[in-house]
Amino acid sequence: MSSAPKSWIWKGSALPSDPAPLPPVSGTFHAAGTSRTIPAELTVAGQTLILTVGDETRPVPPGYRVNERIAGVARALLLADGGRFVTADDTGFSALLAAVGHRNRGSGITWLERRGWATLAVLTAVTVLLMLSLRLAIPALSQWVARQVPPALERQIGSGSLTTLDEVMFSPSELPEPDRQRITALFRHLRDTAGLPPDVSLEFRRGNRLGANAVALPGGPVVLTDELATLIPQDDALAGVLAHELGHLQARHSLQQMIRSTLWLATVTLYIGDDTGVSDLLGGSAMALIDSGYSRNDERDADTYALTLTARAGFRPDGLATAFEALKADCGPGCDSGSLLSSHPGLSERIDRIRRPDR
Amino acid sequence: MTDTVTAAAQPLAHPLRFTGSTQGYFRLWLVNLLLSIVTLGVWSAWAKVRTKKYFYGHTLLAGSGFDYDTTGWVILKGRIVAVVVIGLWSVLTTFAPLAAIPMGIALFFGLPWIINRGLRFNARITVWRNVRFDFQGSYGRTLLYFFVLTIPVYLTGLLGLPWLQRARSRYLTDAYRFGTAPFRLEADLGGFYAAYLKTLLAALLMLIPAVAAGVGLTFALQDSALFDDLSSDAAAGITIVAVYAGIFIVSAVAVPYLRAQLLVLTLGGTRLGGTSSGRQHRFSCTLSPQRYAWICLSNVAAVVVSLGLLMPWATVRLHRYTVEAVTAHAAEDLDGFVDTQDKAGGVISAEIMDLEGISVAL
Repeated sequence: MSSAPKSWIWKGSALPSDPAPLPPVSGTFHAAGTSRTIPAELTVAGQTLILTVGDETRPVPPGYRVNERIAGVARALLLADGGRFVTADDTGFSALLAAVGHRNRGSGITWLERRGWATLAVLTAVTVLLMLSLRLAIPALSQWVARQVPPALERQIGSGSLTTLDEVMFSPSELPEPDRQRITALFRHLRDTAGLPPDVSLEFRRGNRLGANAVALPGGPVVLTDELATLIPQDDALAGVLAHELGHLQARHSLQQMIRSTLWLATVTLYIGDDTGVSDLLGGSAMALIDSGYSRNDERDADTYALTLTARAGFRPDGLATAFEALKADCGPGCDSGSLLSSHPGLSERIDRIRRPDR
Repeated sequence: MTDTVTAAAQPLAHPLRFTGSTQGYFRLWLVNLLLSIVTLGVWSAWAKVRTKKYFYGHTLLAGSGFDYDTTGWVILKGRIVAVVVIGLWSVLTTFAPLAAIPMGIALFFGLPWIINRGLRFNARITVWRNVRFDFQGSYGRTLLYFFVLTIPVYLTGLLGLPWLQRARSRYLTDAYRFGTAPFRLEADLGGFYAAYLKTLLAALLMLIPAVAAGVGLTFALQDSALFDDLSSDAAAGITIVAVYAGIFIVSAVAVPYLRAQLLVLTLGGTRLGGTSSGRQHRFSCTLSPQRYAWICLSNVAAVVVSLGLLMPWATVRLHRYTVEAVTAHAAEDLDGFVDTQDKAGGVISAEIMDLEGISVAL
C-alpha cells in the first residue's frame, strides 16, 4: 500500500536535485528500556539520518524501524539498539524519511483518511459493500459452502444436534406402535418419491417445550413430536408436514442457515468492532433480525416443495393447509405471529398461499 | 540534585490527557472497515493494531503517549491459530459430544494458562517512554481466583462476590509491572461491598418502572376489544418482553455503573513502586459512576439509531471521559523506570481471549 514512491507527498523536499537542507526535527530520546527523557534532534546528511542526543551527535546505524503513521500520534524512530526517538512533528519526520528513502509505513492509509472527499467515497463504498454482502454475497456464499459439505458430514452434524436436543428438550415418544408404523410407512413413501437416500430416517419424540412440531435436522433425521402426531391424525395433513420437512432437507436449509449465521456474526463483529459492549449487547439480536428474512423464505420454499411432493406421492395437496389450520386452532389467536422478526411466516399467510396459490 | 529532592517531597499530579478526536477516529474506522470488507476480514488484524495505536498514542501521561507495539502480521498469525483452535473445538463438540467432556476438562485447566499468556502479551506490547508493562501472573492463582473460587461464591448466593472481586483485582494489580516497578493494590473490602450494594439498589430502582410498564401493558391489552380473549400465550409474550427490558437495563446501565465504581476503587488504591526514594507513585480516578453509566446507555442508543455510524463518536466519547478522569500522582520524576528485556510471546492466547470475549479487566 505504501510501496508507492514516497516523493509524491513530499515532492518539494525529496527531489534529489533540491539542495535546500531539511529543517531538523526536535523531539525526545529514551535509551533502550529507560523512561528517562533526553531532548534530542533528528536531521539528515546525504542518505543518512543524524541523531543528536544531548550534546552527542552521531549517525543512526542501519537496522532502525519507524512506527506506523497514524493521524495525530507521535512518530517514533526505533533504533537497532533499542533506543527510541519520539517527535510530534509528523511532517518534518516524514520529510526526513523520504529524504533517506525509508518506507514511511501507513502513509497510503493516512492519505486516504485525511481527505474529505476520500472519506465520503469510502463511506459510500462501505455502505454499498455492506449492503451487497448482506443481501447477496452472504446468502450466495452460504449456499455454495453448503453444497461443498459432504452428505456424510452433514449427517454427523444432524445426529449431533439430535443428541443435544434429546438432552435438553425431548423425551422418548409415547406414541402407540401402530401409529408409528403407519406414519413411518407414509414417511418412507414420501422420501422415496422425493428421491432422498434411504438413510434419511424419521424419529419420534415427545416435544415437551417444543410442543406440536416437526424438525428437519441437517442431513436427516426428521423428528416428529407426539404432540403434532396427536393433533393431526389425518394422513394427508401429516404427509404435508413431513413433505415440508423433506423440502428443508432436499435444499439443505439447516446447513445453509448455520453457515449464514456464522458469516452474519463475522460481518456484524467486523462492523461494530470489539471496543465497546455494544456488539455483545446487540450482536445476537441483530443477527436474528438479519437472518429472519432468509429463514422465512426457506419456509415458503419448503411449503411450495411440499405441495408438489404430496401431489406426486398421491396425497391431497392441501394437506399442509389442514395441518396449519389445526395448529392455528390449537394455539389460539395469539400465536399467529407473522412479523418481520419471526423465523416463520404467519400461519394464516401460509394457509392462504396453499389454498389460494393464484393470489 | 537537591532540587529534585525538594521537588519530590510533594507528589506531582499528572492528569492523563486524550488528544484524539471523533473526526480522526471516524476516518480511521471507516478506512479500516472498507479494507476489512475488501480483504474479506483479513485486514481486521491490521485494523485492530491501527485502532489500538490511535487510542494508545492519543492517551498522554506527562506529555508522552502510550504505544501498542505490535504489527498486523503478529495479530493475524495469532488470530489464525486462535480461529483454528476454536474451530476444532466447536467441530469436536458438534460431532463427538462425548469426546468433548475430556476436552472440556483439559480446556478448563488450560484456560488459566491461556489467560496469563494473553494478559502478558497485551502488557508487554504496551509501551510508555520506551518502558514496557509486564504481567507476572501465576497459573495457580489465576485458576483459584477466576475458576475455583467462583463455585463457593455462587454457593453463598453471591454474598462473597465483592470479596472475590477485590481478591481478583488485588491479584491482577500485584502481578502487573511497569518495567521492573511493581504495582500494588491497597483497597478496603468495604468499598467493594458498597459498590455492589449501590449497583443492586440502582438496578432494583430501575426495574420497578420496567415491571410496572409490563404489568400496565398487560392490563391495557386485556381491556382492549382487539385482544378480548387474550390467551395465556400472549400474556406470556408480554411478560417475556418485560423481562427482556429488565435484562437490557441491567446490562446497559448497571454493569457500567458497577464498572466505573470498581475502576475508581482500584485506581484509587493502586500504587507503583520502584522509586529511588522508596516512596510510591499513586493514582486517582474521579469518574462519576452515574455519568459513566449514562454515557454507556446513550452510546448504545446512538449507535443503534445511527445504524452503527456513530460508533466512532461513542467510542471516543467513552474513552475520553474515562482517560481524563485519571490522574497519576508521581512521588518523584518519571525518569527512573527501567525495562526488563523479555520478548512478548502469547499472541495466540491473546487472540483466543479476544475472539471468545474473555475479558479479565482490573
